[in-house]
Amino acid sequence: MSDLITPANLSHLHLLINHFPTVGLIIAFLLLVVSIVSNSDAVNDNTMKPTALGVLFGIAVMTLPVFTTGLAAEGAIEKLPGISQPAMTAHEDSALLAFIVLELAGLAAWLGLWRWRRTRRVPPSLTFITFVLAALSLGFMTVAANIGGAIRHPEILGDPKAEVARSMFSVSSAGVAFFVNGPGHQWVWPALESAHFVGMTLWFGVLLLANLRLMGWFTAIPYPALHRLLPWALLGFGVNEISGMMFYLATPKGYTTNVMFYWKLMFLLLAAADLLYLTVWPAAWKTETGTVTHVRERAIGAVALVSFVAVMYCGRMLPFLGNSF
Amino acid sequence: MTVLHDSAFSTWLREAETVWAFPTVLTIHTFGMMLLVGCAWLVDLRLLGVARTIPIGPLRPLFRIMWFAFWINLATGILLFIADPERKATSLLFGFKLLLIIINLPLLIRLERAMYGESPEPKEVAGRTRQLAAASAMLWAGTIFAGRLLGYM
Repeated sequence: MSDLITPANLSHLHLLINHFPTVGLIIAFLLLVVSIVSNSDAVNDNTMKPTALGVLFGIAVMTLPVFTTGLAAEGAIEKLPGISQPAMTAHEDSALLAFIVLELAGLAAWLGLWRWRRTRRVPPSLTFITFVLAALSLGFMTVAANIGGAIRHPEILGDPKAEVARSMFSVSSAGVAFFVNGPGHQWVWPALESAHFVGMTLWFGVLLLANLRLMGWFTAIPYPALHRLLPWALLGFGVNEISGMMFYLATPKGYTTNVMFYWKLMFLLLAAADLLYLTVWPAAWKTETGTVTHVRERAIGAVALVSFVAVMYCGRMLPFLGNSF
Repeated sequence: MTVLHDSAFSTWLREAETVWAFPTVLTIHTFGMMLLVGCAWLVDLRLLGVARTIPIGPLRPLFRIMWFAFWINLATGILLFIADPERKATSLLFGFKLLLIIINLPLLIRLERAMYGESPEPKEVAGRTRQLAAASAMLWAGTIFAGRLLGYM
């Protein structure tokens, strides 16, 4: 795989998968709107709403590799003629804001799904919060995408400089980098690393027990009881996404040029898919005391546990394999 | 310590140009950490009132996993010490990490005894057991922080 990690390939990858948080987000948002409007049953939610929430969660997760390949693409094209550097910086900063709001929307969507699994109903407050956050992130994503297009096609914007200056819908990724790596901030990186290990451990513990149950161990525990632990896995995910993104923004080139980072992202997507599976999978929910599970759940559990250990392995090996740091 | 530091094995662990030396030992140590503390936090969370519908009895195998992971980490921890004995032996942070573990191990044993000592399964988790769980969970968090910060001393 290491010979695939060339700047040109990574730019191409960024241009391919950026459709998840743009086109994909529009589809997820429309699904959510239709599910809200069409829902006539006040007691049970139709299946459309959890579907919309699941798609939204998936897009929020998929946006991680989209954001991280973005800085790889920047490294690939920044020296080419005709590239607008201010547009590139503005694209990165507006994409960061859109990314943050989309992750919050993904979190709200996940909470809604988790509640739906237990009660067959998404609380209206969570539906509302998810709707607002998804709408906001769609708006910010449109700004980011628009400026992104102008990197190669400045003619899109009437006056690129003015347009970029006007995009107040952004947060400063340079500011994050300064906080993590700036002079006098030597304590920040080690503290974030410690938090990253705590988050990993929390997520792993929940994932281990829940998957082992579905693989046929701990049969005296009904799965719905373990379902209550899942928010703690999501807390670990959240802590690690925040700390991980801060590492990434502080030293992007240490990651974008390292093959282990891309392996880590791939396994991370599998681990996140497992979290969605543990949250909504019908066969899992029906696993009561003493119920023996199907070979399908055993296979999924095995893949998930191996993937999570692989995420840890790739992350731990970042400084030793590849060329980071 | 200097003799240990200059021994062939210590030098190999520390300086060998292969991922099978220091990086692999460190990664196995990290794996043991997430296995041991991950399971410990599950038990602690349950005792502290999270997911109360999980029956406590069937959780007992988690303690076997914890001890398995503990021995892995004792072994890899000794190897990591051998790789860098002079700085570790004089490091306050390293001493602090050891202290946290030495306090926590008896808590782990007492926790298992409190949960499974009396039959049948108690309906309520005793307040004292909850305090043990809270203390143990925080000590594990402190151990992770101290261990991770050791990499930056």
